[in-house]
Amino acid sequence: MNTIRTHARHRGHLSNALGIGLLWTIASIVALLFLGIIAYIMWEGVQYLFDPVFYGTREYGIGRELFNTLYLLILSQVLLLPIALGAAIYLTEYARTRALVDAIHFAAETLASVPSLVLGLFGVLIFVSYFGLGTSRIAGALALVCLNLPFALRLFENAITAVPHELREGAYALGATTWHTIWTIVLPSALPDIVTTTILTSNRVIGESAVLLFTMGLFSPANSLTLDWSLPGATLTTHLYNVTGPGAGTTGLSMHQEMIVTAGSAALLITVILLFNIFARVIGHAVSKSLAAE
Amino acid sequence: MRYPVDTIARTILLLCAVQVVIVILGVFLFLGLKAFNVFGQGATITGFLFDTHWDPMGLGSADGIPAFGAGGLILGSLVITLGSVLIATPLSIGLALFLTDVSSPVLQKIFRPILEVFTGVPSVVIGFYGLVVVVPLLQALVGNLTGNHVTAGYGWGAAIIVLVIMILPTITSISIDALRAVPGSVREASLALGATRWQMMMTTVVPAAAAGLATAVVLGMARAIGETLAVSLVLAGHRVPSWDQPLFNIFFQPNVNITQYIAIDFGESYGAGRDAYFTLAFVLLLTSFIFVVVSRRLSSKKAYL
Amino acid sequence: MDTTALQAQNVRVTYDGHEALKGVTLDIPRNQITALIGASGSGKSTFLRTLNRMHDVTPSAAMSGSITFNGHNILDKDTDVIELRTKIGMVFQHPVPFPKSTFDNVAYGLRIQGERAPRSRGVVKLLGKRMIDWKKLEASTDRMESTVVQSLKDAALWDEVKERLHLSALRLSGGQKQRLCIARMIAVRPDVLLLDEPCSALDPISTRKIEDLLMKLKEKYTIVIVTHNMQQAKRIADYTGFFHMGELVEFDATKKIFEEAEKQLTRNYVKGYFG
Repeated sequence: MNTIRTHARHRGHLSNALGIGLLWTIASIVALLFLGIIAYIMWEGVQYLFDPVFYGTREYGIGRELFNTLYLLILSQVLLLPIALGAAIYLTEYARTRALVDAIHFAAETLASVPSLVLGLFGVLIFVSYFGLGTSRIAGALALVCLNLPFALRLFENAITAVPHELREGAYALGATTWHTIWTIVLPSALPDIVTTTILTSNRVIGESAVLLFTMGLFSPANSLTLDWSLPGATLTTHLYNVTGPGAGTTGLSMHQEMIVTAGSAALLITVILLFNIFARVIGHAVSKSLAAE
Repeated sequence: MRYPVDTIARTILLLCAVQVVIVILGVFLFLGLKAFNVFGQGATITGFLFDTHWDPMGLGSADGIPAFGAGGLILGSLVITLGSVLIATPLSIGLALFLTDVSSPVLQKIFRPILEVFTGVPSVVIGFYGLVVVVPLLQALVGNLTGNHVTAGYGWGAAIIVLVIMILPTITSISIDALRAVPGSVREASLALGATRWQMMMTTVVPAAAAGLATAVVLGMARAIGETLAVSLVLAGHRVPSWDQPLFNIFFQPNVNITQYIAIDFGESYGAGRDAYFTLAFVLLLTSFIFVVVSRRLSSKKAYL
Repeated sequence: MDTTALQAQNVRVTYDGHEALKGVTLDIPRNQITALIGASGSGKSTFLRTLNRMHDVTPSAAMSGSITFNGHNILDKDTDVIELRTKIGMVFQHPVPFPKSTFDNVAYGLRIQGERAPRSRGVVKLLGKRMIDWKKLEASTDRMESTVVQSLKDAALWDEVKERLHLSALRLSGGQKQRLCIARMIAVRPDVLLLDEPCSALDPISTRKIEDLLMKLKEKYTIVIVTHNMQQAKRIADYTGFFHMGELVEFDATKKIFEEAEKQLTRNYVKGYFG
């Protein structure tokens, strides 16, 4: 009892071959595109990563911008992580009404969708003008905190909910308070994911640019290599933008030097992101292994 | 039984959690207040949306009267967002399908990290790449066709290409999640009825994942419309081009859009002119908000929960 | 007429080197219900899945041996697996309707083979929504439509769904969903029906309906059913095969297996000493 018409069956096999072939083509093109872009950027700029002048503050050196990037990273993470972690703990361990949790999640999702330039303008309104901080690194850091809050919150929530319920129940059954359980059981268990989250948010901070354009400015003054948070400054990314685009020709560098700055910065950024990515995986594995071994 | 340490902890942590709400409310409030100032300065809503003469500081006119026609900027944002989404969506979904249903586990292990790394590449780096590679390429390809031998590489065409590169990882990642969420039993049932792999994908998996795939596209759109620096570098325009030219040409000359213009002009603006930029920012804010709401509605429509 | 539908000889399945099925030799009788029983992990499902080459989907699986069906060895490399699966159908433990209407679910197998949907026959538009007029459908002489109707009737589901054929199949109850999967399977007009623990996710009433259904279907189809419910095997199966640790221990008429099995292991299992 054969109900298949032969040509229909052949057509099915043909469309299957064509369809799957199409998917292979798309995947190959995209893979080549991605790899090609990264390869090109590294090719153009990697030579400058070995040039000590590149890391200095003279000529085409990006030393100040590099310092600003690191400074901003640490400053914003120090502000972001406690708030995000605290919020995550509240939402997963303490919150009792579903409505509040849903409202906060909705707020977080909405905040996550705000384009970073728009948040930058908000930062100008609030931190630069209203709080009177001026175009400064602290304003940039605060704007970054607002930007990354939803992302960090979601990752921390995942980290904490991933801790098996049995662990908590064991502690409660022994009479521990909620806080004590969190502090001694839940957080240590979630530690690998918390560390990974820190690295992932750092990744985003390093690559961020639009939000810093107007909260931190595009010019790094001579005394940038201090801890003064009221100074304006450019980071690697905003400096790259400036030299490539609007500030081209105004930086006092020759065209060739500008090219070094842009190519080198791009290569440096990709290298850092790559390293952080690998770092995140390795640390994640290592920490969870050492915990499992205990 | 309430313990003091828990009460204290609960209060402090609640304050942390509420930060999110405070921030987003603040954003809407402050930007909104500033945004509507501009309508007291002589702008009208229709004028704002449809006129193409944008000169909020009044620098262009002899008596300093500002013009608040953001139509050209809005059009630019719309065109490059839609253009990039139209091109990126089939590529992304195709790639996602490849990774979930066609490739071997080994290939997946190789591809996934590449995708993750690429998601982390800063937009400014892509913009730089766009400027250094895409623009000259377009110039060479299209320059003769448009008669513009110097700046044909810039504009909407280049911006669309750059945006496609930027939103591909986003749409792909979310699509992969949506496809993975379709239970394996659906695939088995389809194959057991004599479907080829391609038929299985097209007639059962993709329809089942439709809501999630739609969410991916919406989120890609949201990312595209808010993209600033990469797009800025390749648009490189200061005014809306004239309409007296072939449509093809308009795609390949310096142009403008909302985010790019904010980036180049906000710094120098002040007073009422500056408020106009807050209005633009508010438009972006509202658009993103609408995207969020739409994607949430879509997410709740999953076929298999 | 040949009384054997499928002849398995020394069928072996390994997953990444681990032997899940060790050399099973078995003749599946035509137009009978054969039950495969055994503890979890005994290999009965693994064996069932060799019959329609379902293991092809798992990259780490390797099969050897031969299974003769209609004169051919279906484990052969150049067997058209797509066509094979339209002759040997399978229903799974969890009812999985596709996210389509009930009608489209049953018609799925036919559409896959290239049958075209008829133009609006039996389909009326009511308030802009496509409704299906079941009376028109029942009277239709179009091949696809009459196959769908007949399959739903054979699966004892027609009366329950005829008013709602255009609605999503995901709204049906568990028992209805499983009967839908059966209707979907027989719409393709296979020779053999494979069922992998089809009732284990269902309530007793739905289970009973499906068991009655299978007893009727064996007139037209050869049926092989994997079940961990021994009472079910006793109720409906003509023949029973007992699997243990990847091997077929004993295969015989159901009555014999349950009352006077030859192997001690079989006797222990059917008495419930392990499970």
